[in-house]
Formats: sequence, C-alpha cells, structure tokens
Amino acid sequence: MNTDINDLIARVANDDREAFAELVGRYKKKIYGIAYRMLGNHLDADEVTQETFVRVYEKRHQLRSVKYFSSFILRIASNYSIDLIRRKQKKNISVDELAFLPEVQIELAERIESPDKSLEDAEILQAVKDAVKRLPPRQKMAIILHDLEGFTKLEIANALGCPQATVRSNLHIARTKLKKWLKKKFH
Amino acid sequence: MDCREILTNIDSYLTGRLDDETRRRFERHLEKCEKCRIRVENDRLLVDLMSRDNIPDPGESYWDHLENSILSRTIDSYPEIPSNKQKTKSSHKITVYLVPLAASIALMLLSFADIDVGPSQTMRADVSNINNNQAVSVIQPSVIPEIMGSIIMSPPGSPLRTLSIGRLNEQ
Repeated sequence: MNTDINDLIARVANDDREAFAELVGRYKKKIYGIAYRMLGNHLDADEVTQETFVRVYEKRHQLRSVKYFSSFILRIASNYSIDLIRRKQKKNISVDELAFLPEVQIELAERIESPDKSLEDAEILQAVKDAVKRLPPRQKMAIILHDLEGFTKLEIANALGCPQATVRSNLHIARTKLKKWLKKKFH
Repeated sequence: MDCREILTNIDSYLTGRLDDETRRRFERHLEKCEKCRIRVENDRLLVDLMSRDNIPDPGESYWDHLENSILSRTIDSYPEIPSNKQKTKSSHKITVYLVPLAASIALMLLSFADIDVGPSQTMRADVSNINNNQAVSVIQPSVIPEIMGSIIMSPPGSPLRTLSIGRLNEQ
C-alpha cells in the first residue's frame, strides 16, 4: 500500500465522503473484473461490486487498523462472490441469464458472440471458461486472483483467511483439474 | 534445486516473481528434468489460455452508472456523521430531554387509564351500593392502591375489573 493510498484510506476512515468517492473510482474496475471472472456474467459482477463497496463503507472505521487495504477489499469481494456462487448452486440457478438481462448485458452478449478469433480459438476459450467454472469456489478464486489478477499468495491468503500453503495447494489442485478436463476434451 | 522445490516455486516462476538466483536454479533443473519441464510448460499454457478470456468492457456509461449506484447506497444515504466530541454532546442532550419526556408520557397514560374508569366526582359514595354487574364509577381513595393495577390494566366491563369491585363490595 503506497503513501497515497494510505492517506486516502485514512480520510475514508474519518468519514471523508470525497475520499470514499475517489476510492470507488480507483477500485471499481478491479473488483468488477474479479467478480466477473468468478461469476461469469455482468449482473452478478455488478451485484458483487456494489455490495463490496457498501460493506467497505459500513466498515470504514475499521480501516484505521487495516494494514493492507487491497487484502481487506479483496476479502469482502471474494467472500461475497463465493457466497453468491454457493447460493446459486444451492438454488440450481443457471449462470447464463442472458434472456432476462437489461440492455447493457445484451450489448455485452453481442460483443462476445462476434469475436475476431477463429472458431477453433473460440472453442478452446469456451472449454477453458467451462472448466474454470467447474472448479470449487475457493480453488477458482485462488487461480483467478493469482494467475489472472496478479495477486501474491500472501495477499490471497489474507483475503481468503487461510495459510499461504493452502493457497499454494489450491492453485496446484485447480491447475491439475483444469489440465485433466481440457486434456479429456481435446484428446 | 529438486523436483519438490520446482513445485514450491512454480507459481512464482510463472508470474515472474522469482529472484534472479532462484530463477537460474529453477531453469537449470528444467533443462535436465523433462517431467518438470512439461509440467511448467503446461501450467504456462493454461495461464496463457485463461488470460486470453478477456472481460468485456461494459463501457464508460456503465462505469458511471455503477459509481453513482454505489455512492447513492453509501455516502448519499447515510447522514453526515459529526465528530466524536459533537456526537457525545448531542447524545447527552438527547438523553437529558428524552428521559423526562418518556416519564411524563407514562404518567399521562396512567392518568387517562384512571379517568376511563368513569365519573370521579363522587369520591364519598357508598361502596356497598355497587354490585358485581354494575359498571364501575366510584372508588374510595383508601382502596385505590390495592386495586389500581388490575383496574388500570383491564378494559371497562372486563371480569378483572368486576372482580376488583366485588372485593370492594365485600369490605
């Protein structure tokens, strides 16, 4: 956490409304990105992002004692994402809800449907997406945060509330599963 | 470096977080161990494939909308919080005024409940004239404390009220 962000966080903890607005501006895309990779659709990513910032605001006075803000916000976002995935699995709701989405989601769907890539590329990408979707939530979170979002194992361990060794093992298990599933599909 | 250490360091290697010396040792092991080399290459390929799945950008209008939604649910819907000192003062003021106010309201309610019993001008009326079926209108001051509770808490004509008056009658 650099000095700049330290100052910003201190101001948020002291009920500075402008500082909170700035914080939202800085982190919204990052949180949305993580949530989108976890949940795989716009509506859920939007929900996770909003709820994460609402919770950060509710807990703003705790920020005085927070050492790493990125771990703090990541923890809230990952917990909410994992809960949402589990709730959906429990209710057996399909993640693909395009038919019920507002305009922005339809626009996104059109963009996804007309990529510049070859069909083969699209097929491989879809297979990878499907395989990642099949992973258990915590393994999925570990692989997304580490391999795609560039977080360290220590940051992920802080966010998920587990030892670094668990993060490492989650990463290895997740990769092994993905490779196995993809191999099965293409060989 | 052995195969076990390769497993420990593979994540840091793939994300470019190994220091120069460890990276050199890591790569020296890969040159002579095919099993580890295949593993590292497969993992690298997997990470590469996953990172090609770009997140579609919802566009600037969405980001503005998202930010506005968050702010309307947070700073716009919470009242501005005064400093700690002011907060203590104001909560003290509230306590000072609220406690007597609550006490007054409670007393008023008690008085209304008593008035509801009926006309109260004939405090010296003969208690023996009251029978069990008659609506209560008069109570002697000396017996008020004894039956107050049950009368106040029961509506006119209720068995409790009648019972209390019956006890008066017996006296």
